[in-house]
This record gives sequence, C-alpha cells and structure tokens, in this order.
Amino acid sequence: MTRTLIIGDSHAIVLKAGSAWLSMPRLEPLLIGAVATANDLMKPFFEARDGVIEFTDAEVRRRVEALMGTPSLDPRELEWVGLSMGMHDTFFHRDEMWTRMAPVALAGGDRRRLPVSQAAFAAMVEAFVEWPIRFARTLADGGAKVFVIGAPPPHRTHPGMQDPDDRVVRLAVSEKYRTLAARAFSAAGISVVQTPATAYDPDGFLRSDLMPARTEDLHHGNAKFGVYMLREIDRFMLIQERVEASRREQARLRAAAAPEEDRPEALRSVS
Amino acid sequence: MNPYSRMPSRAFWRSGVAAAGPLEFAELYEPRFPLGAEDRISTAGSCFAQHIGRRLASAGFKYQDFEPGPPLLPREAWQRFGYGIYSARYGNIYTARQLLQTFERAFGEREPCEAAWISDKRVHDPFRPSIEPEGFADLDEFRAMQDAHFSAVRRLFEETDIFVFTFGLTEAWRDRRDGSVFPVCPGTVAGTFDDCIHEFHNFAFAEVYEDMRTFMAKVRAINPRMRYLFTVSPVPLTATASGQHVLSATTYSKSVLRAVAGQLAAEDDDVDYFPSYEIVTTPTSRGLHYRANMREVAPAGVDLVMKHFFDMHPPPPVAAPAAPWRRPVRHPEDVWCDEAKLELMS
Repeated sequence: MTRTLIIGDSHAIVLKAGSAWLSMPRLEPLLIGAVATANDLMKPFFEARDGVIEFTDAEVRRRVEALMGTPSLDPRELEWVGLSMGMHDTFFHRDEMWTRMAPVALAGGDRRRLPVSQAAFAAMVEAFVEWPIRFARTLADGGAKVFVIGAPPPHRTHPGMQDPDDRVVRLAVSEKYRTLAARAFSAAGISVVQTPATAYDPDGFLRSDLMPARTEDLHHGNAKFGVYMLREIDRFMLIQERVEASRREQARLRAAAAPEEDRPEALRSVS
Repeated sequence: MNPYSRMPSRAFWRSGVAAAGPLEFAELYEPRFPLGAEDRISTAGSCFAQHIGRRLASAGFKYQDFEPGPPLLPREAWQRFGYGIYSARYGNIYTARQLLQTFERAFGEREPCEAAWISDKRVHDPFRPSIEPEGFADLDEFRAMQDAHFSAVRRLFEETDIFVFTFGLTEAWRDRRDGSVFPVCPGTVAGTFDDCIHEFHNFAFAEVYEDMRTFMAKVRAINPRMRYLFTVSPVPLTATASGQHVLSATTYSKSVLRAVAGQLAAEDDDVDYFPSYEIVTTPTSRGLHYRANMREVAPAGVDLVMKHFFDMHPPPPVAAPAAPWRRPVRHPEDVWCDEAKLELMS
C-alpha cells in the first residue's frame, strides 16, 4: 500500500524527478504523479460520492487511473497525501492586468497604476484556491493526512519580469499570493509545506541552479528543486509524526492517572 | 375644429396608453440627439442606472469604465466591490446634490468634515460606504483608493460625450457642519449616527434644479461637448424619514425629480429625457413590471425599458461582448509545461 501519495499539477513532475535522487524511508512507499494542468484545478474537477472522490474531468480521471490503477480516490485507503496545487502563482503574477494595476502600496508614484485593495486581492486569491482547498478538505475529511506543497518562486528570465516596474509589482504580487493562499489553506485546516527560503535568490527569484535546463520552461524548478521540496516534506512528516506520538503519549498518561473506573479497559489493573 | 382635433393618437390617454396596453408605447420617446457608435457614454445615478449601463455596454455602445475591476477578480465578486456597476466606482448617486458633490470633491473644490468612518480598525468611505464590503484595511489604503477614484472621476467628466444620469431620491442625510450629503444614513451600512451632526433633508424642486444647473455649468467649463441623458428611477423609496406615508413620500420625490428632468430638458438642447419611469409605472401595467416586493423592477420590466430605448437608439452594428471574468488564459509556455510535461508522464 502507498504510504505517501503526491499528486497535482505539472510541478509534481519535478518532485518525481527529485525522488530519484534521494532515499526517504519515511515517505516510502511513495507514489508521485501529475494528474492535471494548473488550469484544470481552477475549476470544478471532482465530486465526492459516498466518501469516494470521482474526477469529473475526463483527462484528470484518465491520468489518475494511469497512476493509481483506479480512476477514483478513496481517502480512507490513503495515509499521507501531498497536493501540488494552489500554491503555484505563475498564472496569477504574469497576468497582463499587473501592467495597469497593482496592490495599493505599489500603485502610486510614477507607476500610476490602478490600486487593488487588500480585500479585492484576497478575493482573487480565494478564487484561485477554491477548488484545491475543496479537494484537500474532502481528502482530509475522509481520513487522509493532507498537506499542500509550495511551488518555485518566479523565474528571473520570465518576459513579464524584464520591465523594472513590472518586476517590482509582479514579485510583490507573487509573494502576496503565496502568503494569502497559504493562509487560506491553513484556515481550512490544511497544512502547507512552504518553499524554503534557500530556494530564493536575494531578489526573490528562483535560484539559478534550481531552474530547469530548458530555457523555454518559465516556471518550473528542476530535479534539484524537487529534492529541496521532498526534504521539506520529509521534515514536515517527521514533525507531524512526533506531534502525533506526543499526543498519544499524553492521552495515555492522562488515562493512566484517571480513577480506576474511568480508565480504558487496557489500562485497568487486573484483580 | 379645436387644437385637439389635429393631434396624434399619442396625445390622448385612451389611444396613447389605455388601448396600447402595458408593453408597447408608440411614439413615446423622440431622441433629441442620437447615440453614435463613437460616442463615449458614462453612467451614474440610483440603482436603476445600473441596468442602463450594463445594457448599453452589452449592446455595443462605447460605454466607458474609468475604474475597471481587476480582471482576475471573479465577475460575481465585482458588484460586491462596486466594480462594473457604473462608469466609476462611486456607488449609487441618489441625489443631485450628491452628484454635484462628487464632481466638486474629485476636482478638489470640496473637502467634507466627515472624511472617513473608522470602526474595528477598518475604514469606510462615508460617501461610498458599500464599495468595499468589509471596509478598507487602513487609512493609507483608503486614501490611495480614494485618490485613484477621484482621478477616474476627473477623467470621466473630461472625456465623456454622453452622460446618462438616473435621478433617484430627494431625501438625504447630510452633515450639519458643511452640508455634505451621504448616500445612505450614517449608521446603516457603516459609520455611526449622531443627532448633533447628521440631519435629514428632503430636497425641494428649486434645490435639485439649482444643483443640476451648477453641476452642468462646472462640467461645461471642462468639457463643453458633454451632453446629458436623464432618466428618473421607477424604484420607490425603501423608507422615508419625511414623516409622511412612504407612498406619498415616493410620489413627492419622483414628482420633483421628474419635473426637474423635464425642466432641464426643456431649457437645454444638450439635455434629453428618456421616460423609463413612465414605462414602468404606467397604470396599465398594474405593477406588472415590478418584482413581488413591488419595489424592484423585474428583469422583464428592464427589458421593456431598454427595448423602447434601443428602438430609438439602435445599437451599433457589431455588438462588443461584455468582458466576462477571465480565467487565466493559457500561454504558449503552458502548452509546453502543462500539456507536454503531462504527456511525458502518461
């Protein structure tokens, strides 16, 4: 049985490539697959029927079946599920609107862009993460331990980052998106494994040694970036296991200290 | 023979209205000037004006939006944030005084005593209390958004060819200290009502007329080519603070507004009046054009109004579709990253 399932958009491919580079017993058996495009995940793509997740998008369903051997997901049969979705913001920060608009703090002065209020910005982010959050929540409600995986920061080489003013706005938009998306997942009770600060260069872009070899790829990381993220996932799971073990131990001690008649049967003294 | 014997059927109630039924009025409206495909049209006013702007835009007229919503904001959220409702994000402008005040504030001619309402660390605009549902994050955001708004309003009045304004109310709440009027009573949507500061005022014909004349003179000074298309909202008052029955108060309010619109149209060649009020409220409709609450205009009522409008102002040949919320478009780079990469995995 798979212990850790990692699925999501094309950034999952990088994680799969990274997994070939290192051994992580805690995650094993590990299954990683890209089952959708980022676009697929921004609209309704699944339904829960009797606790089982059925994918409504035919292409997603086909890819899930190719990966898992079954076209649906039953959260009760899953232990850890990592989702590569929702934290990827290239679609957001590269949009043409940011040449005319900007978050309030960056809109004034010489930039002369229409300001976007914090509340409107948050509403935009919420629209982007709505379906990933629903998906994560459905898995978690079914009993799986779910976390969302951070995506690489913007590429310095992206055409949208070449104009100095656009660069300032888009980098700020990207950072703000990640913060708000992570907050939205957390508010829904879903943990986020953030992209480590070491993956960023001093200007806030993806470090050059973590960029893919193909220059036409303008938003993924490379296998080394995958390794970075898998290590973060490993660390996250270790902490979660320790927290869980600690909780179990505290519950055991509380039960042992309770009056004899209130203890669970296993902890009662045998007369 | 007498003067009535040569008059057309539209001059007589029986043939012009009673026999016509509630759905078709022949020769009800004769435009004073055409709406051309190249005329830049802007809208403002009370709730009913929202329908007019929306329909003009979807019919392909050159409808202006000087403060457009962020394209990545879902369309269903636009209204909540006051985007896409009128040609700038000023919310409902119910009274003539509020229209004049909007112009004066945008051009730096007026600074109200009550500039912001602060509660629970959120900031509301007393003059646009509904445009940010939870209020602005702080005073800096409030000021930045207000500056951008006034800049949009200035452009609107400088660059508009035809300004469509729907008169809504004569009743208003105002600041005793400087006479600034609020779109809604302080303490209802936001803010706190203070009897010592806020007072009720029901504008009379002369005041509404004078405010409109002043407004038009100010606009003419910066944009002499702007023409006006006035309508009166057929939406009755939700409530009155006048002490009268709300039915009487509504009749007073609409009568004054209709009379002012008529007077302005009679005096000024650059003013036209479109009788949407009459189409919806005619006795022959027996309330047919209202929703069940007998206040809001039903979609079919709006359709009827706009049918009469477009009969006389035919839309340009090629209608430009209204901009929907744009899900992020697929870039060429995505074709490689999402599709090609996924194919590698299959």
